[in-house]
Amino acid sequence: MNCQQYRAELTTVKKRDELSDAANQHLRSCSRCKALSQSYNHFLEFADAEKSTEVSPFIATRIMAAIAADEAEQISAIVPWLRVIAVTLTLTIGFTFAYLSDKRQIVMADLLITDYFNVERNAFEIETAWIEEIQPENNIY
Amino acid sequence: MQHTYSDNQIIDEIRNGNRDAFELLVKKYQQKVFQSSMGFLHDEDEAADLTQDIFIKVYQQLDKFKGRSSFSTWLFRICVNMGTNHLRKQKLRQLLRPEEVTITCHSRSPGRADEDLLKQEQKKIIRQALQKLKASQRKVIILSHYQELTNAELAEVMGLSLKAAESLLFRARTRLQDILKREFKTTRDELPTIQS
Repeated sequence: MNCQQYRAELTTVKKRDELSDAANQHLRSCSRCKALSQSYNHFLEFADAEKSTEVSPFIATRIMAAIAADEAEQISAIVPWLRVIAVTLTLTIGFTFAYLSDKRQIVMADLLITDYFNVERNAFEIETAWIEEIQPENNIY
Repeated sequence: MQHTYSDNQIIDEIRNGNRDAFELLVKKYQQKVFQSSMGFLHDEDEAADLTQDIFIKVYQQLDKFKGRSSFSTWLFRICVNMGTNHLRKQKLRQLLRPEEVTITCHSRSPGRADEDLLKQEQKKIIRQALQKLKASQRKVIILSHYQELTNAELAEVMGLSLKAAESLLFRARTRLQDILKREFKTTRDELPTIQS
């Protein structure tokens, strides 16, 4: 095995013990490949050590608590907007009712003015008609 | 006897409003996700924080998982993408506040024995070597060496053909070996200075 072949084999293995006998034999006789192998082995050992680090057993609890807090935060962020929507809706309904009832009065006022200027009827008759129409319970006649 | 659920059954449960079912997924994959986080950050506390962020992201994005690949493939894809993003942000912070990094590096060294100092130096070289890799090369190194994925699984996570993934992994390892050889040679030359 030459250096190029050794390098190719070293690059395809995940672990040092996966190297073939021929590669190990070459390694014993080649100082250049030895330096390459040593430095790469430092990385493999480093990765193995980091990989074997155990995650905290409480991480799942911590994650679930973070998710719950995140959802609660999202809901609390919506609440002020719900309040704004509720107030806007209430005001809109109120103003709509006010406008509609006001519109009925405007129609009546228009009728009254038309009648008042109607020369064929006198003012007394107009007032009587208005009182009867608007407040029939207060009719004294 | 404890019944084991498949990933898709657990996902269906979560989609039906059972948030607690997500804990089963967390417990199943927490070590794997933590390992890949360690591969990116090399610090237990930071890796734990990243693990938490990854699972929160997974929970939030679960509706987007269509089941075209396996859940683990989808999860590992999120892991490497978030790991890369985290490193990018970390680099940016280091550029903006370099004095903090200098303090951190020096505060770890004083008072340690030579052997510990040497090990610390080796770790530092390896961390720096990994940082010198391109993002895609770093991803395949982590997926292969930290997650222990096969080349076929690695190809699926990276969204590459098997040939392309193998080629990328080969180039990543070659580059890593070159950097390590060069850096360790420099350190060996400088070692008497460090030890004195």
